[in-house]
Amino acid sequence: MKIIDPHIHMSSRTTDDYENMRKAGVVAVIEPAFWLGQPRTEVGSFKDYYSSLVGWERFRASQFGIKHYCTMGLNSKEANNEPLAEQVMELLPLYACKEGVVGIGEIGYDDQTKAEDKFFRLQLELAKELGLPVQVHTPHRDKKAGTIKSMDVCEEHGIPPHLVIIDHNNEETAKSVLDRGFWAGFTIYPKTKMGNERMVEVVRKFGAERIMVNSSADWGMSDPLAVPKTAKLMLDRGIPKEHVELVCYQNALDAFGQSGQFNENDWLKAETADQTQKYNGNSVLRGQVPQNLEQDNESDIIIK
Amino acid sequence: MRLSTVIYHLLSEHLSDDASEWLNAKMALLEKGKEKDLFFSFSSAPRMVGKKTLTISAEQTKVLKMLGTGIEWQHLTVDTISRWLMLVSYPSHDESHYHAVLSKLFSTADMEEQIALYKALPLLPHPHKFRFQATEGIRSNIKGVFEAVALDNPFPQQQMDESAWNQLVLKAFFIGSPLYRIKGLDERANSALARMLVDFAHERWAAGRSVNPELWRLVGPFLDLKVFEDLYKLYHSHNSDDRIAAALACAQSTLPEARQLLEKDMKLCDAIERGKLNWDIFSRQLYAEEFEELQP
Ligand SMILES: [Zn+2]
Repeated sequence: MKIIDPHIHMSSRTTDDYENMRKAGVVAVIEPAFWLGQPRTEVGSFKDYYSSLVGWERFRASQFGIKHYCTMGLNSKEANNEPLAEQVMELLPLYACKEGVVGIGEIGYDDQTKAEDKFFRLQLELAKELGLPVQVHTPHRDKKAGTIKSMDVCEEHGIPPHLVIIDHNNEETAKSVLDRGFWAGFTIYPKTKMGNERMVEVVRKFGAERIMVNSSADWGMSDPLAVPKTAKLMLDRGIPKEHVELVCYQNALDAFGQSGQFNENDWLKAETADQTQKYNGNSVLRGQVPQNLEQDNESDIIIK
Repeated sequence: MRLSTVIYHLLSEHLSDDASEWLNAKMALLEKGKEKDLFFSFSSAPRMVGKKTLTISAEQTKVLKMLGTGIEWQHLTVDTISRWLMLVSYPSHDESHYHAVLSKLFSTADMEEQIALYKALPLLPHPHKFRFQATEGIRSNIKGVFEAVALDNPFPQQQMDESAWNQLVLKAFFIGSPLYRIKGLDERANSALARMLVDFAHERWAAGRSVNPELWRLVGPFLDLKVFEDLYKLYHSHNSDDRIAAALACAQSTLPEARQLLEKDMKLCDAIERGKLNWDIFSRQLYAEEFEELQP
């Protein structure tokens, strides 16, 4: 089964993760711009981060046969440093219309401060201007109210729900998000967000329409295989295959495909991840013999 | 004829009406010299004009040759050429302003944009201003970006100093790029590079690895008796590529020992002297074979 992980921070992950993801069927990922754990204090740090999302990380993914896309935005935590946030807002339009940028994200609320609200709204306007989908991060604390507020503000700015992916949902928020016509992302993240057994029950209860699963794997204790593992668990526990395909692949494709930058042919037509291919050179794998990813190789112990 | 005019004509027959209208509007804006306009049109090019490969007629090839840019115009895509058009049309009379704007473009570029920018280096006004930028491209970890500077591009030959040039060639060996596509390879061969390459070959051999036979092309003109020993061994190895490479390198040398070795196989020697076999022909075959091996 083909898998899309529509929310994963690959910049924090290793090449082993890429390799395992590819083996588990992941064909495409979306990396939302987020914070790095350590707050940035200069606008140049944002610039280099955004450049790496469309440059180095995209290349790194291609080495393993995975297509890498991103959403561009100023995250809510760092929106609180207002003078810096102003400068970042100047920078964003430069990146938002690049190839493979499939939305504005992840944006929204964290502490639900005034500054967060201001920059959330400014970025909604940017998304509107460019006709891009919006990927909304909902807060950990005061989640339910924060989620509802996020949707209210999107509507207030005239962004239709079919262009908005409300992320990090749980059993408590799912109903109102789906009832109002938004896409609902569910993050399978050990301990703090959702477990995948709960996810199986969510799909059993709400069906598969407009629901998508992601890992949000980052620099924390997270699992880059969360989506393929959840797909398998759903199948094992009797969720129909069509539904599993919707929540682990097709819905993400439909939602972010509205950007015009997320096209199935990008990976269906691409050949296998032949690492000797002209534009997918082997500098990450410096000194290694290129390996065909379709084969399992048992000789990993020998270091040549 | 002006470069921008030629590029514009080349492009126009490949554009849809919408794309053409968009590009014309952007070109009018760009003339005013606002950097934001360049940034936006440059980054939205693929989604507005598409990514088809350009077909170039024999007549157009002639015109392009007359421009004397040294660029290979085959296999380029519409978005790349549109981006080049923007770069050469943006006001450039103020040298440092032009350089500053382009530096911003380089530093915020995605992978394909970087490739388009580095390939455009030989077209840019004030090329000497972009010497450092070109070395940054050589330092890239992304093979496509490195090759945009290093292969089929006359800029390094024209603008790079010897140490930057030598790093370019060495890196090409390290990451397995086809050497014969580096412009000015023979003209800019030098003894320092030859010495580094021989050391590199010895390191590879010590590690039990093979050496790209193209390496000896850059060593041949600087052969001394010590390095000749390597060639002698190479000539007598079982690998026919190595044997031919040794012969080609010997033919580049004035060393009498090299001459003797070359004449051991008159058929091979003859082919080289009559130009039936040279480094370019050899390399093309080398990579063609490698390419065939990759086919399923
Ligand atoms: Zn995230």
